[in-house]
Amino acid sequence: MKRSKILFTVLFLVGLILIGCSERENPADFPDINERGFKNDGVFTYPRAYSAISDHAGWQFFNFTVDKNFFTKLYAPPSFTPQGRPFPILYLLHDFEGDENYYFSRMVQWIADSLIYEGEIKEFYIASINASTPYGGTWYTDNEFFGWFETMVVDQWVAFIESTLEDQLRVISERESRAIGGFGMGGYGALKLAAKYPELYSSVSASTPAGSFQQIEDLIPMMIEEQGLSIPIDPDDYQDMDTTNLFTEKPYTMLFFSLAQAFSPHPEDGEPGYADSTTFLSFYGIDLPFDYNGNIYQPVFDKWLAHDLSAVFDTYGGNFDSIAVHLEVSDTNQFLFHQQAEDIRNSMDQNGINYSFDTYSGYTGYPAFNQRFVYDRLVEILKFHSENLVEEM
Amino acid sequence: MRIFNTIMLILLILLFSGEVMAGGYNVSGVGLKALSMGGAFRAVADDWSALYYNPAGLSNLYQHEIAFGIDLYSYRPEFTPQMTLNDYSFGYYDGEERVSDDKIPYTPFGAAAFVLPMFEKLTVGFGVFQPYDHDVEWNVFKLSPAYNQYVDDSFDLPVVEPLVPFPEITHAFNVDLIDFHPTIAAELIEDRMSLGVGLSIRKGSYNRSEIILRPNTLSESFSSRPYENLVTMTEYDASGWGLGVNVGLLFQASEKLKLGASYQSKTTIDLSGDLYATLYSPGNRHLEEFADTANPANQLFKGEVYTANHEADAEWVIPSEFGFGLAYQLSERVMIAADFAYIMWSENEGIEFDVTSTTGLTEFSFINGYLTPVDFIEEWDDALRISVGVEGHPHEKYKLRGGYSFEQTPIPEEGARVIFDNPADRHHLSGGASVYVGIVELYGAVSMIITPETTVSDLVDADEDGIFDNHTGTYSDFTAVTSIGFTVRF
Repeated sequence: MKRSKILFTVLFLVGLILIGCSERENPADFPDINERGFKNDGVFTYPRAYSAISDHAGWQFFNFTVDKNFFTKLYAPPSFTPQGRPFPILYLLHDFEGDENYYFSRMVQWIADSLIYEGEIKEFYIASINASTPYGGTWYTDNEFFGWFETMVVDQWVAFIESTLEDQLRVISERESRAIGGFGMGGYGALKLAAKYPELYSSVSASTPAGSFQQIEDLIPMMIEEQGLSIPIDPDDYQDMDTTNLFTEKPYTMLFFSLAQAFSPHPEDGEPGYADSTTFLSFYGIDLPFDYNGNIYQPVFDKWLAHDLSAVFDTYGGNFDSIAVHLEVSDTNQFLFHQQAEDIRNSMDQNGINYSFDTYSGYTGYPAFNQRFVYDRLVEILKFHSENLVEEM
Repeated sequence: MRIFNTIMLILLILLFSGEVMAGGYNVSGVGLKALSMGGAFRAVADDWSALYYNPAGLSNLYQHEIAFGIDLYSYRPEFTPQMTLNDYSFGYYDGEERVSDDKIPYTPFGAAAFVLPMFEKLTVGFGVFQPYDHDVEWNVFKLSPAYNQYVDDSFDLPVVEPLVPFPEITHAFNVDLIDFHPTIAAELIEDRMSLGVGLSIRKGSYNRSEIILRPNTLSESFSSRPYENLVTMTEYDASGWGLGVNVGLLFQASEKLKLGASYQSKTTIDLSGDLYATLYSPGNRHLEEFADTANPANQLFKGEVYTANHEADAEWVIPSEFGFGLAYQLSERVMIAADFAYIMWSENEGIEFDVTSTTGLTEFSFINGYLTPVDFIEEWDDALRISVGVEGHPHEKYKLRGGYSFEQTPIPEEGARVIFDNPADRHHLSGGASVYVGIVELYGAVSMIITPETTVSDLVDADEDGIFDNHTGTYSDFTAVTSIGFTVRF
């Protein structure tokens, strides 16, 4: 009896020690290779995808109209080889203040690789382009003075990627395998171009798109305040708008100037077809849509409204019948984007356009201002297009 | 015999039960006899460990004692991070069960005391023991490849390695407190009441490192996700001394009932040591080049590791504690005891650094702003501990003991951090035995610390400085303690 108790006690102590000695390990971060055959070492394939087309990625893209070089960049999926199987393609249009790096600096390449690795999306190319101007954006619109950006996107860019580079990469050059999307200004461009060119795109996404210019009226006081002006604005001050440090200090000024460049250019006083007006800024070659009293100047504003998405939908809304459309919007109201998106939804509804819709929020202390959640929303955007892009034709 | 069998059965069930968990910032207690009685020793106080529990108890000793013991602690904490806000994650291993580093599964613990009765009513003693111990290392955070890729736009690079070397241990906490404890005790009323006073001369070492996410203050273009927080680490390696006192009173209320009360003052350890503040800057060539050279982003997105070395002082407060206990001699062979203690954990406000010198800053003020240390602020609650214990003397050659204690956690959910283990109330269950071999009494004891699995849900930033105050996720742990020791009486 006594011996058994000692044995009992010793066994108990040994058991405790054994439990304490056993080495535990955390699971490995990444398996060497997953069930789909994709290697995943935590670095993913971004450099590989680029290096595979190193002679051509980042090439210069000449836009004859504005005599300026433009840049485009391309993400190639993990299974890409120059003469391998062809893939669908998503063309992403950048937001205001962006350039061809807009999505790559927000790690679209890593997000796509991760989703492909997880089997969440198909493999497809993702292309981006630089459609910026010194005033932040072109609104993907043609005009003879500041550039043919609409034509550049739907014509030159698509042709360059899908034809000029066909020796280096194989794209399924069919509308069912071609999508377009964008954030902010890019969302505006994507919706407008998909509406106008349904023969090109079968899937379109717009995230927090701008494009209800009726709302712009409410932003006029912000711009005037940003310029340090008071009503009525002195004519000399009106002509001498301050455009220094636009990116960092004057977002409303930059927004108005970019819209004016796109929709109300005015190259020279007295130019045929352009009425002189008090809203003419001769130095910049634009008309602003408000007068010295900060009131809407209708002749100019009408030019802007002609490009409003509601006008686009009124004209081309029927073209969306064969296009998958996704609209999403932040729950914050920076630049009145939220209200603009509401207008856009109303117009889409009125024109009988079918679309999926989503809203997204930030988190406490970090609201979903325009650019903040591109990194996260790209996940949903890529999934949406993956569902609609056709891999084999 | 039945008591022994019952105790062993309970311990075995606990040993092989998946529900058994344990842990805690504070592994406290001294002496095998006291520990095996669940710490219900304030009124018992009849061996050298009275130095710690109730110095008045030394006056109950009538022989010299030399004692030595060692407690082997096995921490087995687990943590499943869920560090998200509105489902947005920040780089922690969300939803993945993580375990602490087990490379040192046992922490030795030692104590010795010598008790010398002097004169007829005066006893002095001296002990060296370690009333607090904690040593844990975690890897619960990783740099996302999205944060950590830096690709040359020439596209000539082959597949790159993660740019920023990142430590495998992201959160570590190792504190040791050694108490040199001279004590004097006297009988105030013969065989009725005694008083003891001890000095706590304490040497503390404090080693703590933590990944801390700090808000990126650049403009939106350069601070959008996943760069809204910059990854920094603050590491403090310091030591110092502090002084406290403890006093105790012991009262023989009747032939069978003893009452005890004691107070341990708070001890402030004046720490001095090295403080390393590191910024793991993100690597993003696009953003780097998008910023002109006058923009701090141009430097930030180079994907460098910047470290500044500070000399820093700080105060580490070991909280005061007071309590009372009772011991009742049920029969000639069985004694029971109970103890109630209140620990003033609110006195511990964490570590605030007083930097005395700095080297290693860069020429970029924006970068340097992230090379300042982040104070380890804690706002803990006072906690109650209730202990009960029993000692049986079935045979003149050996004794058996068992105990249980319940201890409130001082750590509120708003202050839960992975380095402190499970922020839950703890249940200690212990048992032990001792055998007399001549003038030597040999001790053995086992105990377990059990805490329920705890889920901390709400990420908190109480002071709105953009730095999370707590770690959200699910905590669980398992702590087993094996103790051996001896006391020589002569």
